[in-house]
Amino acid sequence: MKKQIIFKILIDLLFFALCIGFLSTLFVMPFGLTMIAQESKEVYDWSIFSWAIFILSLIAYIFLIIGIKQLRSAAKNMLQTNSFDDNIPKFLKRSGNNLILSSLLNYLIFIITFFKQLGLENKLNITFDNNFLLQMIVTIVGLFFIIQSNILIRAAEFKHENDLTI
Amino acid sequence: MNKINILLVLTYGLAFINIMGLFWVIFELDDSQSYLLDENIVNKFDFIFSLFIQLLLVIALIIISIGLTQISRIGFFSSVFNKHFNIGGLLFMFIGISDILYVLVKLTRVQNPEMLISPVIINILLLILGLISFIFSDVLKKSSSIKKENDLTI
Repeated sequence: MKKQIIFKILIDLLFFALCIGFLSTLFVMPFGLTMIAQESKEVYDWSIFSWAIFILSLIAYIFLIIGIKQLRSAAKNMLQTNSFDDNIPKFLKRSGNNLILSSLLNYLIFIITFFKQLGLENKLNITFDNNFLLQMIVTIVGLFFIIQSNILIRAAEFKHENDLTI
Repeated sequence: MNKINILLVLTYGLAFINIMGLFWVIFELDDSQSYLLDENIVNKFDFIFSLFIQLLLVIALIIISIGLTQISRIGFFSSVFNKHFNIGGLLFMFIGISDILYVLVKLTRVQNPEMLISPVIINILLLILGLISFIFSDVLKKSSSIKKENDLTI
């Protein structure tokens, strides 16, 4: 039970941190203070390309927040009931799908900026990028949730069958 | 089972990228080694600590990958690979907690604290990944015992 409580607290922390990040981006944006890592330019100098990356990043961020929100619901159910509750696999699957969608959008942004850089500077730059590793971890976590939801569904079936056996 | 294979490829991929990163630094392929010659002890410690954390991450990823390989071979409902997820989870949690504490210490001497947001989020995700591995191993343990009981019932 201790693990579940720590898990819930961490998910809550991550959810609120992400919400604060999202809201601050939205509120700071009109004042022209926002910068995006891929462009390193201020809002005034953004091209259509920069805006496209910004909008794609925002959509990816929204998917990430929805994924963590679903995970919060799963963690809440895990604390209130047991691990074999019917709703937990549903929330876990939705959360996993949203996390994977978010990371896929981010991979798309990496590919677009990579080709843009290749086109502009005509040179290949390989770097050890923390943001790329973060997206890989998000994909791994998402897949873990989907697999865990499948296991939980099958385990619940076994448990149900077991409970019915005299 | 396809998803397990994708997950396996991703975890091995992440381990491979981190191993390449370690080799990159150790074999002087970039100028990070100059930190070792730096007279400033804080810079030296920074460098050694980040290498240590990366090494632990590689070990954790390899342990989890071995567990996933066994799942793809034997199937989900076996308690054989519980220890892999437990050790991997423990390592992930250790990395997450120690790196968060280190980032908090770093906050006092860094000029751009906003640069530390990304490492903190990565560490919280690692902590969550560690806890998921623990919970995953618990669920697998419970499920395999229920399945065993079910299979024994006539």
